[in-house]
Amino acid sequence: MSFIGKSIQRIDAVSKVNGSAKFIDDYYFDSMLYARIFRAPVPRGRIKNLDLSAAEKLAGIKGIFTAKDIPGANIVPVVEKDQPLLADEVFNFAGEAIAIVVADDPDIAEEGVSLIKLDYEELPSILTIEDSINKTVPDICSKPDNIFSHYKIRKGDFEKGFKSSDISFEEEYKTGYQEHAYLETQGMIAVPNPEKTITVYGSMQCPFYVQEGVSEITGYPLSDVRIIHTTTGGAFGGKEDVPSIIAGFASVPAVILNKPVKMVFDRAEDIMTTSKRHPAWIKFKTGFSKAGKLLAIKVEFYFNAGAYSTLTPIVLWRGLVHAMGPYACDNIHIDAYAVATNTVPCGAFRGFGTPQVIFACETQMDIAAEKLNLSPIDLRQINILKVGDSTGTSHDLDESVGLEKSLHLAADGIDWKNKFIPPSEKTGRKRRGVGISTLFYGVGLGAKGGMLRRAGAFIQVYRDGSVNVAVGTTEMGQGSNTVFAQLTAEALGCSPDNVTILPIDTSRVPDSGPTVASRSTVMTGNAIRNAADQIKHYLLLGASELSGKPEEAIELIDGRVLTAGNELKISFIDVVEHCFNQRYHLTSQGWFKAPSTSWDDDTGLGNAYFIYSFVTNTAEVEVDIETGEVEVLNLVSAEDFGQPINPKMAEGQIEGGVIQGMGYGIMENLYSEKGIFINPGFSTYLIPTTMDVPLVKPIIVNEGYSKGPYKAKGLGECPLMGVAPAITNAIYNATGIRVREIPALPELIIKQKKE
Amino acid sequence: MEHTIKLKVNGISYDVRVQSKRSLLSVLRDDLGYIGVKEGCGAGECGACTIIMDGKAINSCMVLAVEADGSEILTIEGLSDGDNLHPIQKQFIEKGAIQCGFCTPGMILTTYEFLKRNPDPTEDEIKVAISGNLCRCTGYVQIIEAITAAAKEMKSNKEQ
Amino acid sequence: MKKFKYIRPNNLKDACSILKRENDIKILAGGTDLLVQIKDRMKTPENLLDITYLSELRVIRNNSNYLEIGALSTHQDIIDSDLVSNNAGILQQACIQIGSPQIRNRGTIGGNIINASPAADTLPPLFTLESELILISESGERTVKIKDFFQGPGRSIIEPNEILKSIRFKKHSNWLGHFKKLASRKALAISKLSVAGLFLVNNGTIDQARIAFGAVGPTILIGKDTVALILNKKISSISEKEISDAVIKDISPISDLRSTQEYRKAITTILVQRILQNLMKA
Repeated sequence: MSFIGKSIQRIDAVSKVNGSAKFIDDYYFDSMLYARIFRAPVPRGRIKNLDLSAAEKLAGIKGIFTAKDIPGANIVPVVEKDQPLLADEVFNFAGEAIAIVVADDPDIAEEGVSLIKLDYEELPSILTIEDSINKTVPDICSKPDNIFSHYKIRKGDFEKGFKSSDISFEEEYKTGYQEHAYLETQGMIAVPNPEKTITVYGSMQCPFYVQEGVSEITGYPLSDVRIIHTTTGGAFGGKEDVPSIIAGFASVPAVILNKPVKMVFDRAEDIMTTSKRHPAWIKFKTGFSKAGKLLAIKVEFYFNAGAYSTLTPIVLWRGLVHAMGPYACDNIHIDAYAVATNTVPCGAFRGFGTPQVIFACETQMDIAAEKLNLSPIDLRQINILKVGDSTGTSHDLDESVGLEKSLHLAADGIDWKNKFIPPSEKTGRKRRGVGISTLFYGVGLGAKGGMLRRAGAFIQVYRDGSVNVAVGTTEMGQGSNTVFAQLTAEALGCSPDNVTILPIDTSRVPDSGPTVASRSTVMTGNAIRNAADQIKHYLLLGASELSGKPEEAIELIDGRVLTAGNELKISFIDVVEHCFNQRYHLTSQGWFKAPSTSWDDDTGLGNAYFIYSFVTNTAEVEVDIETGEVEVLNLVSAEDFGQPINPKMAEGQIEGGVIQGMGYGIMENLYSEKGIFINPGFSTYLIPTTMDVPLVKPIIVNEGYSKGPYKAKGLGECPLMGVAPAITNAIYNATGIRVREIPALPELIIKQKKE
Repeated sequence: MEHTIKLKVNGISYDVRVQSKRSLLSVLRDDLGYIGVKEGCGAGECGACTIIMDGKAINSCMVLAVEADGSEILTIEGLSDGDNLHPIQKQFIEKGAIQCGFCTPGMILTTYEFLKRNPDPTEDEIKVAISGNLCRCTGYVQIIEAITAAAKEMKSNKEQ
Repeated sequence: MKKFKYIRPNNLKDACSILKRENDIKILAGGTDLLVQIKDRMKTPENLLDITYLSELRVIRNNSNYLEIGALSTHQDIIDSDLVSNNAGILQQACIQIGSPQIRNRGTIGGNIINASPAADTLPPLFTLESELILISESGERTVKIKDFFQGPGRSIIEPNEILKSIRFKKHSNWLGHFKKLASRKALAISKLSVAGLFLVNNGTIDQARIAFGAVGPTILIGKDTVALILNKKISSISEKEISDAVIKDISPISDLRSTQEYRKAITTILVQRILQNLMKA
């Protein structure tokens, strides 16, 4: 019996249902202190004087720390090193941290913050993409022209392509911020140890990023910085680079005061000051032959990066690579820009730059279908990538392309045939419609991932047959630990019940890169296989010695030993005992380096990612034509991410991600005034409740990937990215109202209707 | 300003000395060690801190500990009997209704109080019952399946 | 949170004298609004008077041809009450849509009134019921008509030493009541606009009408022009344009983070039209 494709129970389920699972705020250390942050009040300013005197006098305050107190370097290292942990002479966004206040009680620390007096000179600031492009204030960031990054694609001859097009048109699209709204806010505890070492515990996706961040801030070498991951209550990208900042806030006072320091954000602070999905402005031009073949694509798009570069360069690059959609097209011209503004730095969020461009591309396709008098399905059928085709960046796809299958399954899943009726034929106050979107998504960090494109794993089999596995990528609810237990069990031949995945600890396993980019199953999965294979060698040897059967004839499955399909009297535990007696080495280090990729910055062409997952989303909506209220009735998501290791958990990921995509499309909106988010709470930043969710149908399409662990690809981000345009296309189908901006709030729909 | 209050939590009586401004949530967690009660927003807007107080599901972040003086409280720790999980807990595990786990204690307690009042609910009634518990991971689908299955199981247990 | 003194009175009389005696004191009931405001430092009282346990303020009762609802009745109490179902169903329609089950278990109608948000959901129905508020203090009781109670967002004429004791209104058992609220999602959402309409319809003619609007002005607005338009008319004879013109006169919405002025104007009209269409069907 195989554990691949088996929906075993989550291995961390019991502790989560009985309340014993410990999240960072559940940890207490002796003499622990609490940190709170004093922040900049306006988007940009020069610090003239920081008066800490009143705060320092408050009983219970143990220390107040500013930039000059940082023992190491005042840097939050991400791609660039332009972001300080604490603003020094100038601050660049409202809410930027200026001082850390530490007390023996969080309320006292908070009071301390309120007693700090900042004397500053307000400087002119930029708050919008438009102002940044127009340089209404020049040079607000570390790069020239307010542009953090620019990437391009120059494929074929787009001008010729448009000239030969029968139909070509250009549209403009806008997408807004999205807040992660993980239920557990950011938190870290820094515990100083003797001999200038430090251990930091916390909620995070990327322990090795945090390790680098703490090393930078404290000045300690990496060998003396130990990061331990605690149960993480949701992340979705929001805990990719930001935790390094939280860890920095805890580590500085911990090291100076030599006491454990806890830094946990409250909800408003979390929403107001941590990274968000980049808002975007996208200009999209497409040219088609009258038969519906895509002949030319020209895109110019801008991401609002905020005040510092952080993850923006990679987010932008991923957006670039996916902007033309999962279609074959020979003439592509794209310019992608990330511009600086004096607002909260934006970063990673499930999809990482693609939901924005997918919204634009898939709306564009919907408009094109109508102009061409083709159904949206037929238009996609003509253009979608298949095995043997080449992606927009000229990557030849030689295997594992489940897009066509997903297209038809998603269409059937929503009963497209019967429900797709043109808007002109719709009547009544409540109108229903269906919409579709297709996408492709590169798994892993891709060609620009540099040295991060590897992962390690450590496996130890104990004398009683139980197994410890240490990996470097983190469980944040997506179920990776359970998947790893299944992969380990499959590879070694034991039961997942005997496998314990250890808490992620940077001292246990080599730097395995971040838990992002839907990479864990492939990267860590293959590292586990590599580690397991080394141990398996000895297990088979031992089993052969014990049983007298040749190694090639032996199978280890679920704790049993078989040969030629017949179960032997010896068990996995017997084999392990024997191996111990023989002093065979039943521990191992696994390593996996990502398959090769390539990229040419001048042409924007290359094998950008080693493999792609494919998704088709269909949506059915009912729109109140008078009020613009949209009720989503059905969401179908047909996804090819190769072999699902645990189908039930995969479905759970699809269901959750699809609802996040729905929120992005019609409900979630951050409002700012003067660069400050004015709705930083769950009653004003609205994510879907149970009352808002439609029927959700996840459909797993399995086009196995030869290099994936048991043919798996990557799933984590797939469910969110294409939902918004599927819904807005459905809104168009229902009402004839085309929105080119998300969130498609009723106010926008009614406004659009009038125009 | 401090008060000594009496709380009965999961059947155990406590006398606790608290400042008037302390929330019930923070006293349960920090003073009594019931870390299964979670803080998601501190403003009564997400339901992560839901506990049962005198038979009603409430947001413990929005109740002062002093207000709860003399009350009987059930937290997630009190729902299972040692290793024996309550049917609701079992079905949450069975149906895959748990991902990051942060909303789970509150979600289960709301369900517990709801099924007491309404042992045979429709899907719509379930949706209303947990509308005050936000989940960002699951999309609620498997949660609703779990609650439906739990209701069935509890009903058949009763009938036996 | 800023420190405060917590006081629990033994009875209503006690509560009133404490209120008279202490400066800077706020009344704590369900706490679902007040505690958030204290945490956000929007309100920083020195003293909190917890009246939650004054059970005499939590009774819903018949009082000849009045229904009297104790101010400490929770939204869930009101939803569960047969008396309210039979005599003021419109109020239940509102309570069911407030917050979440947890909030409905704690939030009180009294709190909803005193918090005086122009978007509060119990208020438009209470206006249509022509409710009276009974306020009590050491000096005695006084009754205030709800239409005279509010002064602006978060402000009412209640004196610092007064407690809202109960709300009463005449029973409206054969009236048809409709409460509609629009919000950005279906639960845990503050209204972007709301309409309450209470009608006596006779053979397709509106004999009596009361209309109140929420979240489209600094306080709850009474639909004077709208009522004047529809009174004594056959519902079918009233045009959409006439309704629109009248409603626009009655409301004064702004743009804020929940919605825009234009949208509120347009959709409030539509809700009124729909309420009238529902009346026709009934």
